[in-house]
Amino acid sequence: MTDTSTRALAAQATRATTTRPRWRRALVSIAYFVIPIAVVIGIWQLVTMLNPPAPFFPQPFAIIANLWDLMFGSPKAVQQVFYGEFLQTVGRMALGFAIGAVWGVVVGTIMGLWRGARETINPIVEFLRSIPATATLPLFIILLGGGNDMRVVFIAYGVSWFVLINTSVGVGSVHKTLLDVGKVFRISLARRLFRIVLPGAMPKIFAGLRIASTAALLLAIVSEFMLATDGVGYMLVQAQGRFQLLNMWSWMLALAILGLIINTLLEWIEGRILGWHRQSKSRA
Amino acid sequence: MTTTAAPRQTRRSPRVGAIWRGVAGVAGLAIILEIVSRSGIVDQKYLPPFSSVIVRAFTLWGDETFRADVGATLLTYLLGLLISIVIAVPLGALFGLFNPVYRAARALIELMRPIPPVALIPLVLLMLGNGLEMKLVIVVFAAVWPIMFNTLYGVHDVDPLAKDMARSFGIRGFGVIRRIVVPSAAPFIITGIRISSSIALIVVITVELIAGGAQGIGAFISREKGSYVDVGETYLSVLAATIMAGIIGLAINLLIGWVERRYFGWESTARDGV
Amino acid sequence: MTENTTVQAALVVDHVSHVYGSGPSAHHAISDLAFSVQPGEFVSIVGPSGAGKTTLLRTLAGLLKPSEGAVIVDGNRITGVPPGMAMVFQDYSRSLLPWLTIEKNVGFPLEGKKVTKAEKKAIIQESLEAVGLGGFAKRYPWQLSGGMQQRVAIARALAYRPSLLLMDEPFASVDAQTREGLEDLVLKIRDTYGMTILFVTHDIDESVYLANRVLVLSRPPARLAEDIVVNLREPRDQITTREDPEFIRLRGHVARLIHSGGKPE
Repeated sequence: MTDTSTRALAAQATRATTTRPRWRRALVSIAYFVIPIAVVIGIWQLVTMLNPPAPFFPQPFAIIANLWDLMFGSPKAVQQVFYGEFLQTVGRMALGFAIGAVWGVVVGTIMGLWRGARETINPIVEFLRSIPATATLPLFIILLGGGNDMRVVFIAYGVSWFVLINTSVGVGSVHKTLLDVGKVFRISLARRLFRIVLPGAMPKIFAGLRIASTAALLLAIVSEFMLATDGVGYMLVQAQGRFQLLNMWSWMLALAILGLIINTLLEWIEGRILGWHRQSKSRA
Repeated sequence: MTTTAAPRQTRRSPRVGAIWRGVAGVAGLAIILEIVSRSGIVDQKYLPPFSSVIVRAFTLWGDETFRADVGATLLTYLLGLLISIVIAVPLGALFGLFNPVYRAARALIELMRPIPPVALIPLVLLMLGNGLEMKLVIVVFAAVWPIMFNTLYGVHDVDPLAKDMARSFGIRGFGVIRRIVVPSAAPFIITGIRISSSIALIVVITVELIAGGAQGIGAFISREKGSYVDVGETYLSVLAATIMAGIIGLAINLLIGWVERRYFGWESTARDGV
Repeated sequence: MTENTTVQAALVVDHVSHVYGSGPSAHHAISDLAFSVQPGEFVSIVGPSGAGKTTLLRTLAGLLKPSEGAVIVDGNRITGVPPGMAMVFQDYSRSLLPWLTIEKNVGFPLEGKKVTKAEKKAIIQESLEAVGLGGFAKRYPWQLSGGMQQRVAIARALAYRPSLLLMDEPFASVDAQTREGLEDLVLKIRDTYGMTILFVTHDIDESVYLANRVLVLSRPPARLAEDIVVNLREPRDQITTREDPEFIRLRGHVARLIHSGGKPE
């Protein structure tokens, strides 16, 4: 029968992969990761070294070195650049993200728990969230001026939609039986919320938070492009204005690193909090 | 991986109730906004009456430049989406079918993905100037990912039993791909396209907004921003244009969603929000 | 001194009816149900497939307010979930909290209740051992089989120290052999703890095997077709009890009632 033979084959396959020694598998994984990157950077470096300097693509090593110089080259640089620019961007992002996330979770939970609320609010949400958040920046500028506060509010606004929708879906996905369990054992509403509903919705909420973090970075950069006096985005635009390609690439690298750090951080947190979810899914 | 059947049609009466509540919600909000604005609780400059905004949003369509701008944005959006599909689907299929290739490319993908497409604007602006190519580069860079990953996912997770079944009927190689893999992966690809569509539109408008330039909804907003002496008028205009952008985006999203449900509704486990 | 002969009923169902929806599409799930249950009794509720049994149980649990009539627990008319009552659900995989260990799951009903940490730990350990899962405290639900998960749910109900235990087709999703073990477990618990048990099932044999009384429901709108007293020898045994002629007679009688839709033959 095809049925059993396929399963037998699959079982054989899993046996085959798991019997190869663990360190060998780890080595292969690392190789897959490092080699392609090394190849690309290597080619890029070679090409730019051999050719007459191509203005738009500086040598990768030079980019890295420059970024280091810019941020940590001297104590003054650390003060002005690292703290003054880099952390400014990070700070805005983090604050806007936090505010937007809290708002999103609160409203999303309300929508997820009560069908009436969800159906009433949903059309408004669907409409508002299809307005590109970046397009609302001029509005925010007119309303709140060009300062730091405006930027934080702007980021919070853009971020909240992702969190809200994912929270609403996540809360709604908590199985009715679990809610019944809470009621049957006469657990208070507050405890039901924090010990059953929110943990149950956490996988989806977290997915929303991850998307929101990407959005926060994006919105921070956009706001700095359009109107800023500091921040990484601002530095990038400044460098562009002065046709300083090396600086531009350095700042772009800084942004990429920032995005990577945020992503990795969230993945790590997710692994800690949602370990149960991943393990149970793999079982299913 | 388990597959779930497409959700059954909900009973009539709850659906109608939902519609009524939704309408009530919108109407309620509109009324509140109108009252708050006209009564002067919030300065009318900053919160124009809801009715005025709606009127302005629709009279925008009478403005020839606005229409031209909308057209330009939509054109850029469509081109960007098309190019993204052409690049992402074969790539995603390649990665889905051949795991070693995917693993080799993975490092590069994971490095490129976190780069906010917007961050590339200054560089690409310098390289390509302020035209269609520049916008397309940014849009495509942003929009390929959802399609690629969803295609990968769809191709990778084709039920092996289905493939076995086809082979047992004598279908080989490309035939299996054409008749089993492609239809099986299609719903995922469409979902990826839907996600990419909203990303593409947002990115186009953002690029127009930031990079200036002559055409596009973003450019329109950017122009309006500085064109009126009276702050209130400016605000009204920008607000109306922004809302219009939202309506257009919503309409497109609903359209694709409808196509997705109508023609590809049998499979509802495609990943949303990659 | 005269002995107080009227022992208060653990549960009284006072002419309860429930209708879902309204107008022409209304669904009359249960209609004018009335019965009482004495403390310590094991009552099976059995009937044809349909919304009646679950509706009744949810009404008894206080999760559902009946359209008509009242449920009286320990002399008090209930509004909402009464204290001292626990429930075991059919869908065990969804009734345990997947992010908690087994022991935290079992201890969950004690959240917010006035119990010291030491007491809680002791109760949890005792409950787990009562269902035969003493060594599984640190595992997670997804690591356990279906039958074991249901045992955890039972242990959780025990930890709550209820006087009334409601069970909603708890063994319907479990394979036959596991079911036998679980059935005997429930009987053992009844003997050990002396709680009143209401057991909803669609399995006729099970309903007779376990109970002192079997309440047979008709098709919706479910009425009480018959209230049958079960006088089988204790302790019950999976093999000998099922061979007992009285058992065979009783289950045949119940089966005929159900197949005829609740009309007596």
